[in-house]
Amino acid sequence: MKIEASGLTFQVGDKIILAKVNALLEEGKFIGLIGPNGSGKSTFLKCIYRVIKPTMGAVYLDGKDIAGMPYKETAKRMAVVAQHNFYNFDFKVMDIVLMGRSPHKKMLETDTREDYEIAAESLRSVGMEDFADRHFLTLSGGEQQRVILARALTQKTECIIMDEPTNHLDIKYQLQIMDIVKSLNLPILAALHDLNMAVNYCDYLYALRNGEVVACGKPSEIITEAFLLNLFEVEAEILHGKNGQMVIAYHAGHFKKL
Amino acid sequence: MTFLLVGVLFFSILFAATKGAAEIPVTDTFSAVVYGLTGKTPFHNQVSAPVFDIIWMLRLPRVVLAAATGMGLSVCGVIMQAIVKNPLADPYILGVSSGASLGATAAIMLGIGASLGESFVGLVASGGAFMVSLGVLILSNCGGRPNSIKLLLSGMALSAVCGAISSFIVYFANNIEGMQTITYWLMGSFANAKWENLIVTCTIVLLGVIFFWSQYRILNLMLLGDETAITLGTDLNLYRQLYLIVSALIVGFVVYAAGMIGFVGLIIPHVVRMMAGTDHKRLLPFSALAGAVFLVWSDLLCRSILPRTELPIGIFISLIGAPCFIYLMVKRSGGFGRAHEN
Repeated sequence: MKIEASGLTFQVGDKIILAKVNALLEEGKFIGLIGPNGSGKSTFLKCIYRVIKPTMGAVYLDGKDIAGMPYKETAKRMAVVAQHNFYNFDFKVMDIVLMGRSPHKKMLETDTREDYEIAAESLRSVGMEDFADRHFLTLSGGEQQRVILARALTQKTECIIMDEPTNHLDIKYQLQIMDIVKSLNLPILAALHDLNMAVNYCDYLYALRNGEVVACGKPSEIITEAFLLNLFEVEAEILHGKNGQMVIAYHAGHFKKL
Repeated sequence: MTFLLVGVLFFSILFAATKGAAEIPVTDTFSAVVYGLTGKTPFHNQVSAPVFDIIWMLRLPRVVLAAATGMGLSVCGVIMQAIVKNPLADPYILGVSSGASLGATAAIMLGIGASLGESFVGLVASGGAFMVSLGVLILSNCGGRPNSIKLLLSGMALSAVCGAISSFIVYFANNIEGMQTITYWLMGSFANAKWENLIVTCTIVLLGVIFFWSQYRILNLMLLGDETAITLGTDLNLYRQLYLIVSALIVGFVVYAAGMIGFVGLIIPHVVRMMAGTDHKRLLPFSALAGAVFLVWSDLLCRSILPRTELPIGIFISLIGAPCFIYLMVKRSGGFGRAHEN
């Protein structure tokens, strides 16, 4: 499984949101997209999961241009966990997770025992097996996001794309979601706004600014104090925790005065 | 559950057919129905010719039309709610019924579309219904994302326009008899049901229900929105238009056959959702059957509530439907976890 974005450009009127972005997602890697607000992270992901069509450039799945593929085909190969999952109607958790099977279904095909098993298994792997009969809208934000992750797993795809999956979640659930995803050993492409999450979970990072890739590489290689000042315009220092993990400590304005 | 509801519907139809100016025992009613359907007499229970005529020619068409109308309107309610992703949609509120009645008025009074064949009034009514549903969809998409307020307002506005044009046609047609027909017809009634017209309407409603039931997977995806649907392998655009055409066809024929009956498409799906959940695999057949049963009983009530006369069904349904609608709107802002504002 290989996803390759080649020269992806997206324009609205005169405004260039993505400018000739190249990126590569390979087997077994957790790839992070970082960058300030409005840098084009979401737009880039949306081009890949086909919600918007790039003005120029193309996305290749194992060498094949996705623009010519049926939506069902891409949905069988990449699953998406997006940041807003807000529904006007209240489904049961199981109903939502089972919808992950729809790319595998023909028009009149009904859900089989196997589909239920896959859905139940996915719920187990996100620790939500006891919630199958609950109503989605009665769940907390973290639980809802785990259900959406379970739906993505139910698609049985070769990779997962995530757009700020831990947005608005308590830190416990942020870590939980990231740990679950990390343990899947699938290729993951995720836009992350929390840099500490990005450096601790990703194998490789692409940094975007104004729709352009300004740096890419292993987190330990590209994340430096000068880089953070340059890209995010914040002062921070890079520390190392007990287990050797990187910690980015931001400098709050009032400390600087001392 | 589906079978239970089919049973309830069957029993309701039979029971409703026994009631009227002359009470006819259920056994005779049953025999008359079987005789009418097959030409055979069950259990050697020969019914007299007048009884057969009352049941088969007068009451049964009426009851069957009530059932078909309830079925069609509730299913169209479910579909429109899925199309606009909002539980407040229904053919009446979105102005689709007004579009249908404008079409029918134009067809009856001005003879528009007479070249379309026997059921041209129904077809023109469907055309009107379709134009309005398309109009509502376009209007509510103007200037950013559609939301429930924009939908309801566009529905209201188009409904008013259609109502005005209908009144204009009726007023200037200078046809007292036609005027009376239209006025009564707008109040909604099953009194003029005849087998000849009924067959087309019933066929369209039944085929429509089966078609939509087969689409349950896509209808579920519709509620999750376009983006999620694409990531799950379905582009909704085409389906939305197809569903709009099919539901306009159903609403058109139902309005032509029974007049304006509001709120059924709103209340029935809502109640069924509370009991059976949001999954369209269950929601769709349950709503269809529950809607049919509901209108059969409402019609029975309308026939028996006032001595020696009957209440037009449209009036009755609006009287109970409007408060339910207000209740839903109030409840929406008060939590409940079922529906939120976008």
